[in-house]
Amino acid sequence: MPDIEQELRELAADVVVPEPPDVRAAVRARIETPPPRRTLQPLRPLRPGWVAAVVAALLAALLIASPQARAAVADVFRFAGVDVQWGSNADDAPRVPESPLPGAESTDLTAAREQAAFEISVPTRLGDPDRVVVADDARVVSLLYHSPQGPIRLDEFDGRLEPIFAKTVQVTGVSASLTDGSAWWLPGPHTVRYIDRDGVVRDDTARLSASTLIWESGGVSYRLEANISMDEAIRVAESLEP
Amino acid sequence: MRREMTTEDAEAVRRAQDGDPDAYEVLVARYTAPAHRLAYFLGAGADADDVVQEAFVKAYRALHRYRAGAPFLPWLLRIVANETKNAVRGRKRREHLAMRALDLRPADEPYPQVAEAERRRALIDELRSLAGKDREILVCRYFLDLSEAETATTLSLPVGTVKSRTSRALAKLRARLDVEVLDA
Repeated sequence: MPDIEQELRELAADVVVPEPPDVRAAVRARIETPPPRRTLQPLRPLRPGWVAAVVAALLAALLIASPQARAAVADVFRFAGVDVQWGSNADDAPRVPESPLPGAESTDLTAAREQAAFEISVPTRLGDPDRVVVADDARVVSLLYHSPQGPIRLDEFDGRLEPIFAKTVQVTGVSASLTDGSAWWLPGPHTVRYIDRDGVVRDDTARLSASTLIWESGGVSYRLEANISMDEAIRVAESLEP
Repeated sequence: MRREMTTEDAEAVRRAQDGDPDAYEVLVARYTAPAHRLAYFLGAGADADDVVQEAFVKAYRALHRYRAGAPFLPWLLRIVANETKNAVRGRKRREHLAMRALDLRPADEPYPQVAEAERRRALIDELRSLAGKDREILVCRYFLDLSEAETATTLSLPVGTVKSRTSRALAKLRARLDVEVLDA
């Protein structure tokens, strides 16, 4: 019985692959010109020490809650693939966006698990979702629930390489602790927009978001949006199971 | 192709991070071939060259996020995989192109045994029939010669998933090919 792994390696030599291009000159020309400006300035991801510092600063701002104190705090920060920015127009987005996330389509959990490059988890506290939507080639998988408190939405995505959502908030968030890491709670309505694969913030996807808990676990970022308390959101977050 | 993070790589990355384009060009020259191969096998089709160029530009701009000491190639390949999805919209279209990429070279001379040629043909057909994600993992492991950890980074999967899917896919290939042998 031939060894299938060895056979596959040998097979590689028999597969026709076009010659690789020489991209040195093109890449060089492009990296020597400055990158196009983005709507949000690109940020370094926050290191844990930084997160603590920013959290402390924002908490202080929340406590003081004066515009001057707020102005002293960084305008934008990034957490678990979400860029959060201050704005006085944070709550004037439509309830229903002009355009849904690109390529959004309804599916089921099994199909979404086949498509997504990351592991999809389901909060046992909520059980199986009423609806599953994948968007942008399964870059974002959303679990949707009907509940007595209104709709609940759990977006799952891989936010390690680049931010996926941009939020404009008027009210400072607070940090929350999960058993396996920290989370960020954004209370009250605020605007959320999608950032596409080119790093462009898509204004047509702008909509009003309910309170949101953001966190990361095992390389996957989560965004839980619902009209529930922070404590309840944390209980949902901690009930995630693959 | 062996890709342990060499000291030259580490040095080139460090200098590129400091904004030295010559240093980055060394990395571009060194890793164009695997980047191109991955884009092609993931279904970039005619856009594979553009994907490689775009990925190198994006990687350069993301170098400040690159963790010193981590292997450079899988970090780059992950950007290539993302960029392939960016360039070729639609999973079905990419899937179609990825299938077409799995094409055997016409034999220059007949194989010593017809059976061997048939076996290879059967293997490539079975590879095509696997679920897209399983096939991508096998392509990384055996066609790009990546380790399990490198494959995991490239495809943004946990290492455990790469392990379990690899053994499941290999078992499937073995079983199907055995049936064909029995049928013959």
